[in-house]
Amino acid sequence: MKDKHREAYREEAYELLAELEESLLALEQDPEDEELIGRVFRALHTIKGSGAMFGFEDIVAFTHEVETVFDQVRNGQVPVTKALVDLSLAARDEIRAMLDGGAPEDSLKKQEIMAAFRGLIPEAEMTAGPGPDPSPAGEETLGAGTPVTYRIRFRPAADIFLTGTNPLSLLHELRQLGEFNVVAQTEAIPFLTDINPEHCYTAWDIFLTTSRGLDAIADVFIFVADDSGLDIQVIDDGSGSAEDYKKLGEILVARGDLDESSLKRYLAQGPLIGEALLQEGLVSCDKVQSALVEQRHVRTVQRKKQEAEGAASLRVPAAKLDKLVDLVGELVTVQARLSQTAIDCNDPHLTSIAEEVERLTCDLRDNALNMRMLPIGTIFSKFQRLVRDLSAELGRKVDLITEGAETELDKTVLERLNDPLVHLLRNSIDHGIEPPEVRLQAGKPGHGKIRLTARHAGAQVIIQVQDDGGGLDHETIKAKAVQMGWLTPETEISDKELFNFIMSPGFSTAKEITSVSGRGVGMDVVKKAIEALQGSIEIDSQPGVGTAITIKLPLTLAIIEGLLVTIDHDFFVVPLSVVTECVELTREDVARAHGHKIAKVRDEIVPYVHLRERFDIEGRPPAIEQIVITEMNGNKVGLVVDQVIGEQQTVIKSLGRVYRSAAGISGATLLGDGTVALILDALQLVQGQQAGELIN
Amino acid sequence: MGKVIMAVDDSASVRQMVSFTLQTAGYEVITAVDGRDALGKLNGRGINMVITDLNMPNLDGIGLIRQLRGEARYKFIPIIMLTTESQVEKKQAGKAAGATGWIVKPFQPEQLVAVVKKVLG
Amino acid sequence: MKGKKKALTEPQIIKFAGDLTIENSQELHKILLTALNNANQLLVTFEGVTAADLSFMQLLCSAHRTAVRTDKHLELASPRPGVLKAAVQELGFIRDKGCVLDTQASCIWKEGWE
Repeated sequence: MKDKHREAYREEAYELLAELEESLLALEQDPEDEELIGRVFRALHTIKGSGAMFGFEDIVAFTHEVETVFDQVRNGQVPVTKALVDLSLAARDEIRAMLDGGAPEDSLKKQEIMAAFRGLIPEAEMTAGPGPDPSPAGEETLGAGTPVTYRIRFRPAADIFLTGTNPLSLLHELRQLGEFNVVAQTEAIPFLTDINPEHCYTAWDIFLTTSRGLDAIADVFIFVADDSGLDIQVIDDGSGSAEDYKKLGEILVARGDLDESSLKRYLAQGPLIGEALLQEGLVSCDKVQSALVEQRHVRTVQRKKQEAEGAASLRVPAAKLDKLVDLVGELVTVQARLSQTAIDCNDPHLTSIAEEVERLTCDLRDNALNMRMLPIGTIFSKFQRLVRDLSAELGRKVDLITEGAETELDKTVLERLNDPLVHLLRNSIDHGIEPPEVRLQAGKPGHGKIRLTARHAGAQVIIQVQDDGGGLDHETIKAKAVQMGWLTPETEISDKELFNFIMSPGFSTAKEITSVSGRGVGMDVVKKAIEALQGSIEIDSQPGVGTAITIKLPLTLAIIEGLLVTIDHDFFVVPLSVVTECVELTREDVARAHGHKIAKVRDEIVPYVHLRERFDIEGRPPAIEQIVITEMNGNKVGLVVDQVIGEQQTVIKSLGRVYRSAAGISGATLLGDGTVALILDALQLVQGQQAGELIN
Repeated sequence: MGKVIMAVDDSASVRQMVSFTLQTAGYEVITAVDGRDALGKLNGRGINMVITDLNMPNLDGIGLIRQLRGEARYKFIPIIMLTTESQVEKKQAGKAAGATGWIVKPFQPEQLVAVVKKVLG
Repeated sequence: MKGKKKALTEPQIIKFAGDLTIENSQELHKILLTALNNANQLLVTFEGVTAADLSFMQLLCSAHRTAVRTDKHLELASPRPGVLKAAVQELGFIRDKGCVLDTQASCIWKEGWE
């Protein structure tokens, strides 16, 4: 269609060029003829104007220079000379060449002609080159952001009807932009004897809530803005709530319709300020009406917004979510069976269905688990108060800095994390942060700092409590450990290993017993709680610098990534989060260790637990067994099994009461074929072993 | 019943583009080549809107607007002028004569339709 | 009361129909002006109205103000066509309360437009 229009333009332009040539030649004979000058100008004007419509930009730019000169000629500022006519004829030829499409872009000749025409205009008269003006319509600022409420006061010119504008259609157009209310200001309407029925006496207060922005509003008034009174104010940027929008009196004061002192006087009289104001005639009825509508408008908009937000989230009892996650767990199990069956049947149709189900189940599982995720900030917030109160009680000055409040954790994990964190914070304030005078002596600021941070790392969440206090005293802890009979005074032990003793039952080094800590129950409770959450805890400390306690937790408790292993005909699952690698264990390896349950893994001696022995499983182990190397609290311990099968999505089922106390087992899961696999509590399994091997 | 728009321009290609665009948008279009032609073709006939170029021979856009506003029949109808960026003064003169609004050349068909819809309500 | 006595006399009825728009505003103005000059009671009906715009709202408001000032009575009848109601609503003429001039409490913009 565009080509059709371009062709029409070309034909027209040829005609215009012929007319231009004719007029120019006539003009040479009769340089004063205004009619001829007008014809030349109009021909150029049309060539340019229409050229722009159909995409002949080169012609537009070129003709603009010529047209500008003839505009001056028309105004008598530039005389018609033979030179001008010659130049114009050359220009006409050039335009023709451009129309034919034969002229090279920016030919030298073209440049020369353009320069020559420019030279004919006095400097000050130079007009800006052609460029598209901002168009009155068609370009809309869409999605300018959040809904904003505007008060638009529009007072049209009295003769607005006589310029073909109907105020009703302007209001109509505004209405399209969003939530809209309008109050006519009719005070100025005269009595019937004085009225000119064709004049506009009405003004409007318009309340508009739109996300289209100011530009969209300005566009509505584009043709009348110059002659009308127009005042656009933002009255609500969308942040307020329905209840707290201004009272009627306040709106009037904000608009300047009422002064503050009068408002106070009326408020003192009673609550119905609108009535009182009207009766006294202090504020006109139009203005009161307008203020009333403004109030209603903003309240309605805000209520709608709140309702929309309310509808966007839904309160569901936690138990229902738990049930959903349970069901998803069952589904994951069934899906695993389906996948297994599909593989066994070797049927491509079934396989493709099974794959589809697997994908959907995976999405469903992620979504279901995600619903139970809460930001850790929900428990962070109450710690501020705790730290404030505790530090006051203990005479410390402590600032708590939290980071990563937005980190999400499973609701159950989060609930059970509260107490351990409280305990760690107490310890930091009581044992960690020194009294202000001690700190100042040590060249530290009097205010201690505790940083409580949370962040995601893969399928884990890492939470850290870090203080800039005195740090742990290596010697005191060692002495205590020796006293408890856990160590001999001669034992060389790393800080990391030593610090682990702090978390042993019955350990407390606090020199004074305070109400806060130092009663011998402490870190061991924290450790148990974290382990119950399938997590791990690690202590790092430097004397004089501070202590950092790092907790690693799985995102959720319901489903874990596990490593499926077998011993004889039994299946077990090791949580993948603690597994670092798998290595073979041959009979020769065992023989070389001379009865010690240790293996050499890449020049590192790793103690192991022989699960077959541990669980008293009968039968002979295979010639080559597998060691699953786990790492917890910085210590590596191996778990020896017959075979490693592979990674497995594991839905954790709690064991019945009878089995709950079974050492080394934390739960069970169902495999694809319905077989039960026990989930190993790796930490519990290695603990005894580890201590024993260390002393050996 | 479709609304009737008169389009006045001395450029045949612009007339063609305007009438094609408006007809496609469902309006009835009468075209005229200049102000004098427009008045002749109107001859008291009822129309809903006028779109006119400003620079035209015989009777230019401003003259046409003045004449139309002088007649009861066309006193209140929307009149849109087609202007170019270099015609700021003309635009003012057009408004003074009673033009409702303007479209700056060059324009796209969509812009034309948007303005027509705007002033016809 | 004065108003009640008047209500006993027969009101003059003005039947508006067709386009109550700016093009006809001069004529509409004359009709209202003449009617208010010649009668103490006016009843305005709107059956058959096909369009209405701001100019007519202004005339109605002006007529009512004039009636109140000259101690006459102007009343708008029902039914009121949708086009008329829509125009009154869209132009923001609806009021909760009459203006200062409305000493009879008979403001025409309070009821019958929803």
